[in-house]
Amino acid sequence: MFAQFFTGDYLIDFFYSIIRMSTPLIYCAMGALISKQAGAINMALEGIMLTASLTAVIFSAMTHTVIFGLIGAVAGGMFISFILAYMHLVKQSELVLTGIALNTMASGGTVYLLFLLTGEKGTSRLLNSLVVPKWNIPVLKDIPVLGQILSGHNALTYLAYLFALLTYILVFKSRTGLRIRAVGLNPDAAASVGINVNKIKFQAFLYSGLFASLGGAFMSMGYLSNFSRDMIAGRGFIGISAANLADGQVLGSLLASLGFGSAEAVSITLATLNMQAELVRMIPYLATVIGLVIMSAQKQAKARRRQGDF
Amino acid sequence: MKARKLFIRYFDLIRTVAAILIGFALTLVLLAFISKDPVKAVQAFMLGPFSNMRRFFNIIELMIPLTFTSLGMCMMLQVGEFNLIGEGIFGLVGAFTAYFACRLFPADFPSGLFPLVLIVLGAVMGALFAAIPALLRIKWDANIVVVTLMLNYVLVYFATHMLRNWMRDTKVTYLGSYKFADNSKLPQLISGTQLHAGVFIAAAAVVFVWWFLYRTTKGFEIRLTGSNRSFARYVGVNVVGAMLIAQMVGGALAGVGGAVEILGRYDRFLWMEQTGYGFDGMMIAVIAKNNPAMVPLAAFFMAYLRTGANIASATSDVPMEFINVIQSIIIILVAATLFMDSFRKRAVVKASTAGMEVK
Amino acid sequence: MADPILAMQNITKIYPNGFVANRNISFSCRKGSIHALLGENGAGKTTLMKILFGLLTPEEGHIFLNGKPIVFKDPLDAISHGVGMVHQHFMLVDELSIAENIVLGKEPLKHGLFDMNQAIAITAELAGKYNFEINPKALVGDCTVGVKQKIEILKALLRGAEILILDEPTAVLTPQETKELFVELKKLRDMGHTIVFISHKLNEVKELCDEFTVLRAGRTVAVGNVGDYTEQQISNMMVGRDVELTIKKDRPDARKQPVVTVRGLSCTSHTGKKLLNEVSFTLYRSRVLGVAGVEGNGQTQLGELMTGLREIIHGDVQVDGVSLKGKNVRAIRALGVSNISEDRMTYGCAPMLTVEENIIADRYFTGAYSKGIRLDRAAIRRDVDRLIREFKVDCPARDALAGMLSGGNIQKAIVAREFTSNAKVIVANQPTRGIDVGSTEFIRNQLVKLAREKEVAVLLISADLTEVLEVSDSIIVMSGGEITAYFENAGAVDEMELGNYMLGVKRMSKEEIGRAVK
Repeated sequence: MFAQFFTGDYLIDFFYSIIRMSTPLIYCAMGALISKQAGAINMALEGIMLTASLTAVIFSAMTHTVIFGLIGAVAGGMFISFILAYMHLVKQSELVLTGIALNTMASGGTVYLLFLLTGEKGTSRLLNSLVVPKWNIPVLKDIPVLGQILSGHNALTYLAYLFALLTYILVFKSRTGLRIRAVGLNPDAAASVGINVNKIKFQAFLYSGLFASLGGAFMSMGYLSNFSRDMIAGRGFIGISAANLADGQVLGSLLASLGFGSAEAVSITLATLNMQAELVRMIPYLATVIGLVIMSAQKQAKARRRQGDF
Repeated sequence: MKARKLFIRYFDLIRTVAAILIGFALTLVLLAFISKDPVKAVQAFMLGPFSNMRRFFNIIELMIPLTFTSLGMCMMLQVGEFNLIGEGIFGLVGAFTAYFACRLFPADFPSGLFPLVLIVLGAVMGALFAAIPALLRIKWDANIVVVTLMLNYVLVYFATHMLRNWMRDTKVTYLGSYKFADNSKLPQLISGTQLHAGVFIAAAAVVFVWWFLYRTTKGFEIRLTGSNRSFARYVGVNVVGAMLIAQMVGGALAGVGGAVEILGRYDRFLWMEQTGYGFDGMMIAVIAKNNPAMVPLAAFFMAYLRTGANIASATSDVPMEFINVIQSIIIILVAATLFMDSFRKRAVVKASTAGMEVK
Repeated sequence: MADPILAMQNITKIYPNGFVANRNISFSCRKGSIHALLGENGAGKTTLMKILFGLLTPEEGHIFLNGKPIVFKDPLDAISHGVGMVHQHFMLVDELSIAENIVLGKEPLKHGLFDMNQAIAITAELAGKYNFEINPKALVGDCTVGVKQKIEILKALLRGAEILILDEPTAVLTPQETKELFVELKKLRDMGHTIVFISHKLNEVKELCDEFTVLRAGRTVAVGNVGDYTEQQISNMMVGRDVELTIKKDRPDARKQPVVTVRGLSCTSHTGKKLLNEVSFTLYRSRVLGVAGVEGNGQTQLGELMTGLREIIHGDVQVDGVSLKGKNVRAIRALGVSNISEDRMTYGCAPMLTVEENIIADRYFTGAYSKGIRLDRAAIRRDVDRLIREFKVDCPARDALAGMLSGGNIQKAIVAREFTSNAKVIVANQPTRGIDVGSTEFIRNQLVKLAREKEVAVLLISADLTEVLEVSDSIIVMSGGEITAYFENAGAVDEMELGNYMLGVKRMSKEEIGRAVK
């Protein structure tokens, strides 16, 4: 069984699937990162991605255009993000509680909407939705092994790296980003020079929703070719963990997403090898917990060293 | 004047009721949208649960697991921790209980003792599982929300693994465990319904948790710690101990819930995904403001919503899932500190200016 | 003063709880001068400056800027009119660079993005103009406190500050940094800026300032040129008892029975600053030892070390010969140590629990209030009701939430707990800060009663001189984390004299201070 794994084809599939599985996590991690930098992690990312994956399908089916599908995804995701931002920042609701409630709302609301449109509750296969095309990269695709791993992915997969770069520019190179970071690190200092803290946080939540929505779109317009209920399956929280793990840095979050993507790839590859299905499916979640704990332990040790006293 | 004072005094309660009413109003809108016969759907949803005995008892039956998970969540929130492991514990302890009942324990284990032993085992397991995230948080300050949500997937996958590999009955066409030993099951109370003796255990649990939190020294320490950790430390409370105990008791309650649910309502173990009782429990605890005494009422309400939704989806053309939307809206409104705050402010200002005129 | 750039006239500020922080205060300063604003804790300096900076609105009075009346809506408004403030707690983002901090809110752009190079250039140019030595690219978190202060000043200058308010700027600085700051401030003055310097340290005022205004108990009591007065004279203006509260107090028992011995107690902050340096004294049964001093001179740390909230590393505290080293709070309380914390809402109470629960929070587990694991409700109710009456806690019922009470009543509930725990020692840290006169008087009387009748040894830490003088039998003065004076007989102490030690004008010899131990 294991010998089979190490034959060329399996390895190539495995690395290919790392890149594929990481895609939604990267988008989500970027969204989480932006909100983390503003000092309040967007706990509704799971629901945002789920909503986006449904609205992507609906819009693309209605317009028969891929790009409108993506726009629909963003609209759906940002709608949820807007509710979170409004309730938390304006009505001062508890962030975690509101986030979890919105995830539940998305979980039920997507099924409701799906049923409203198709009369089915499981998947959107009755909707004639589109998928984002796959891109074969010239030259690269002809290189053996490397080409098989790196070429032929969904366009959103390549765009994920572009969006990571965009995130970097937004957070670390733009004026808004400087203000987002200042607000997250010391809101009083930001307010003292006339920055409207709530407004900046609101913006950060919206950006965060925008980025994560594309991850949701990938799920229903790339990873699968339709929507299926609860298809995000914790990826929102894994993305949050990736951003946490990297302490809000872009490159680190990207690597952490690839790490968690690998865990999913391992899980999927092992499943095809007829390993114990359920045990194997735990892998990404366990990896997330372990990653989070190691990060927290390190951070705490650092804080202790710096403080010396309490 | 008096009405205004009452309004201020019971503002929190009024707010919660208003949130619920808004939720109901939205339900009607959602149902009207989706159903070809909205009147029938609304009727099924709102009146269905009271239309006959069996359905009414469905509410009570559903209250049992919800009571346990929400009591568990009350413990977590009373000590100030957003520990959501209850969902996973409920499922996994359910699986272990099933395994004990159909494979591990001899079928002729004394009938009086059998369910009792299994429930106690469930409590112990629940406490141990809950200690894991609690310790991760206490020792390393790990983000408890994300950790417990991830662990929930792990626990539930493990439950399914147990079903598939430890106790699958290959003689049935679907994926299900062997039948539980007859002796292991909780006695049924009223024929024609599924109401089982678990309802007494749930009632006892409500009383116990309330008593524990409000009448014992440990409970007091837990509430002190949850209310103001610095103050608790200042008066000499062992803060770490209080955090751990509260969360372990919370886990034990979720564990008992899983065991009771399996032994009361099932012949075979069938769960393959999260039951959702843990999350409903969290919502109930929030509506009940973490007070165990309010849990039965809030649990009844939530069970009524679910039962109504079930009936509506069975008898008309609406999907059950709309209820998640309603629940979430209610919770978000309850959680929003400033929801309806302008009403309260206006009343306070009027009351105080009126007071001044009198003087 | 013929041509004041800034004049505040007849300012009166009354807080919602009825406390009058400023009464008819007038304050003005000349363009191009350094003006000292002096006064004890609670004299009204901070309130006055908050009004000037647009953080508070006065009930009465007017502000004139360059002779024109003006009203500042908020700090941004004040900043845009050329008023800048350097807070005691720096408003800086540690994780960002100096340049980023300085341009925050008015960032230079290039192609729509933040232009870091331009920010660095702006910062360097600004620093060069005022001769400040800083590296614009350095992270603020890596800077010393002195540099952080310079960044704050530059931030204000970049925003066009003509008038700079510095709130106790030297409290956190080393002597060298202070010297450097003074050079820079003088240069700013020479360039035409006006500086309002809030301080307690008279030697610094003497060295730096041109004019001064002294506030006491919310009133302006003196205005003058620094050169015309000695430190001694200014100190006498600052201290002085305005309200004579009469506290009946017998003479203490002549026999001195030691209860608590504090020996060589030291502690350091995480930045390495010595917060407490070799502090030694003894507390005696039935006596009150007052700790006088301006806040932030090590009193907080002393209180925390004596009650288990901070671990004792250097030195020792013993109660009846038992060391507190390595003991947790409960064990220390069991030894008979009771504590009124200066931070009422964080350490003193749980606002979301009831008055009853707050009162029994230190004793619920004892045999008197519990049977096994069960709380003895009858006993609790009986005693809580008695304590609420005895300590005059004005609350609707014992099950009212503590957070709903006024500050004075919360403090009385805390006192009801801490004064009835059968303590041998009470560490009372700022027990009457910010509460109404009635509660203040009640608590002071209770402190004396407790010492005399219950034979408790009391350590009273307070920045309020009247309180220290009225309540204490003996007094130590703390300044810069050290004991700088010891007075055996508090009744014979002249407050002017005390002020000299508090404000660092004078310091007793080692031998004189050593008498606090015997």
